[in-house]
Amino acid sequence: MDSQGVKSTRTGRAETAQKGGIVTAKQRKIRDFQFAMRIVLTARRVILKLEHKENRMTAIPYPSYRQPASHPLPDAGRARIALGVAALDQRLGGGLPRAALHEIYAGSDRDAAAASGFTFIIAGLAAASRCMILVRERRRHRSAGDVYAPGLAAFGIDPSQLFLVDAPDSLAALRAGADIARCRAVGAVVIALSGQTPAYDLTASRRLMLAAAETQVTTLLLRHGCTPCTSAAHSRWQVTSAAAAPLDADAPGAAVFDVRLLRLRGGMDGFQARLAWDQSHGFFAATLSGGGAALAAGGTAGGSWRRAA
Amino acid sequence: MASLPRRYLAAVLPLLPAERLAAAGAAPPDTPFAFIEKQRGANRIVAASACAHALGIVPGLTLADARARVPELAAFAADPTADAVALESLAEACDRYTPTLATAPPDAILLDIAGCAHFHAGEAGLAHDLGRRLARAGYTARLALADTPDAALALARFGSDDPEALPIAALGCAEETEIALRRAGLKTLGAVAARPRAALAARFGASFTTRLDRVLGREDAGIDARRSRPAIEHSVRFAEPIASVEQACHHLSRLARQACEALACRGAGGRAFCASLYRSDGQVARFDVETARPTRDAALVMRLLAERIGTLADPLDPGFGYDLVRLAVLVSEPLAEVALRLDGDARGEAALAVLLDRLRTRLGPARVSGFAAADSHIPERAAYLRALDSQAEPFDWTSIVAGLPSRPLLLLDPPEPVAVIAEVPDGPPLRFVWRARARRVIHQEGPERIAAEWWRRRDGRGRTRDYYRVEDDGGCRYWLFRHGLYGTETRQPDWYLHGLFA
Repeated sequence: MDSQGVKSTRTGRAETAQKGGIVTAKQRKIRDFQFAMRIVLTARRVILKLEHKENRMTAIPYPSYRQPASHPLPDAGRARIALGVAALDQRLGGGLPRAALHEIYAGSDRDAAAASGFTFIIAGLAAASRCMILVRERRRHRSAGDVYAPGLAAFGIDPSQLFLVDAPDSLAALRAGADIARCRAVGAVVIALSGQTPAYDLTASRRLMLAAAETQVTTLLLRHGCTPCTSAAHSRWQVTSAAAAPLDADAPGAAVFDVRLLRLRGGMDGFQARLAWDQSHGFFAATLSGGGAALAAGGTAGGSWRRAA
Repeated sequence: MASLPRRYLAAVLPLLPAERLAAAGAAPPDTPFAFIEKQRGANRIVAASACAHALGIVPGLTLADARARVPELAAFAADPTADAVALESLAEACDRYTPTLATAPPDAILLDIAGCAHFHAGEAGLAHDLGRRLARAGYTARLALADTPDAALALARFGSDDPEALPIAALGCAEETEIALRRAGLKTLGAVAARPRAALAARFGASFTTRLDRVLGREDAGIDARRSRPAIEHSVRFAEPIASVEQACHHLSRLARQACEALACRGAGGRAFCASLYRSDGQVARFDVETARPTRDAALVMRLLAERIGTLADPLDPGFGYDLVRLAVLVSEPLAEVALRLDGDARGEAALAVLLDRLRTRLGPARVSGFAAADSHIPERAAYLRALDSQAEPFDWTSIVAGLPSRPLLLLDPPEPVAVIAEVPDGPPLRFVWRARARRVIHQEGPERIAAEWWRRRDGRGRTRDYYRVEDDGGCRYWLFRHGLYGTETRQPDWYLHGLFA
């Protein structure tokens, strides 16, 4: 600010000081209250900004007593999906929240099957006995392979409970996904997108997140062939396939995933683990090789203890 | 049920090709032009405009002769397909009078107007209205009413009021028959009908007398209606066309309520609905929606229709306005009143059905599907996708999968060829190249031998597949197969990658 500007503010202050002589005690009280309110509102804005939320007053959540009580809050057991690995569940606060959007990224082109497997396992856990809907792009899904019903059954998913929706493009897929997430009768919805999709942005993810929060429909976004981007999702995972402990006669073992938690809303990210799917118990188990050590060491990946944005 | 006496209205459009071209703005209507087609090595005229007709240009003339008479005659290539399309769209617009109508190619429309004339002050009023609308669209029409479709068509074609006075050409029979009749001195249908039938049948065949009866209006052959008569149909007509889609939708929702009340009276629910918006200039916009289960929820039907209208590639253009809005229930099924169960399960199922209907309406019926199992041990045939509208009992997948070795999560269909290094004759794969990347096999399991379905093949053969489940050095698991047994079925077995395990 130049010297002239400083001068003008000074004269302004002098004027208020002059007027201050004739203000009553009541006016002063009002002025003090307004000043205090301004500080409070500024502080709230700063907090919001730090939390990367929209810098608008409308974005401030209502206090809990003003929430519509049309549907009862589910009990703790139903609200979260426990994955079965104690250290992971503890990190997630008891499991993945059911009423939220979760993103699962394939680590590379070769990990499409691993990412799909991990997504369907979570969807199966979330849906329980209710139906599950897979939304995909009509042409894109072919090159990476088509979902195969007997293979799904191997992950404890009843293929007759799965519906497939083919959308012409990613925008239509996201729109269909949001509509499905708004239907309470659905257990889980998986939206599979491949390649860079500009249609999936902060607004689209926020829409999905709000729909999931309202209806308790677990919404999973399966992506491959792209780099993770900013979104409003509750958690973001990167899944790569990992070597399984061989069975008898040197046969390849059951599904093993290297998972990395890239983002967790209101929690610690940068968590890495190697998970093996145990079909007989319907839970994951941490394997001892590789990621197990990281898990024991507190689950830090590259020592990044960063508060998630 | 005794059938009602029918009445038929025939509209013959003698100048259809020329007027189609003029209506499309491709030719000025008041100039001589003709349509030509190559016939017996010469360009011959098959249709001409009204102006050309007045100058003596008739079908059958060669183009050279016609040009000698009218040097400025413009010639266009005949396009029977476009004529048929124009006729179809005119018939579509005639749907406003009666649901039972058919086209009589190449140039006529037949309407069954029994019980439909009271909207238009009698049959003559209806015919007059049709003629007026066709004239406004730029078409000359010759109209005739009769008790049978053939009679109406013949009267309209030959511009007569009395079937007995029609020339024998109205029978449309073979040339020899016509010549024979003319030689016998029979020039009109009345004269032919006066002859003993037995003699006519003996001379020209039984089909001749049948045809004669039909054209004389004694036997009703019926018409092949373009669409079946809907179970329930409600429509609203406007004296002044309404020029906004929103208003039309408002009237549609009123009709939907009426239709659903009618369904409730019958204890039925609709499975397929069709909304039609008739523009005053003859265009018709139709929207079909289908539901997975019978419904009589007017709000749901309207939501589906709105979804359908919202996803149109080119938005609705009201033009000069709609003067008739109609909603029909095309398919209905019995639907009993159900009490909602207290656990809310029925409501959940209904909500899911509504959701899937919306998606099917928006994306197309084939785009929402579910898995079905087939009785085959060939992996790509064992499971297939089936559109949801076919109702079948659910499959017990656990028992289907129980006896099988593990199956991949993602299946490549068709399988992708890979280059494999393996021991002959039947060793497991050691290395393979897929999508231009070499992969070394660390662990493998197999083979799972799947024989070809020889009973499906005419030659009774087919190659056996040996499936291997392998894991490469990157920790990825694949499903490979060798196609054909070395030595017995093939000399050089091909390898394919068929699936990806998680």
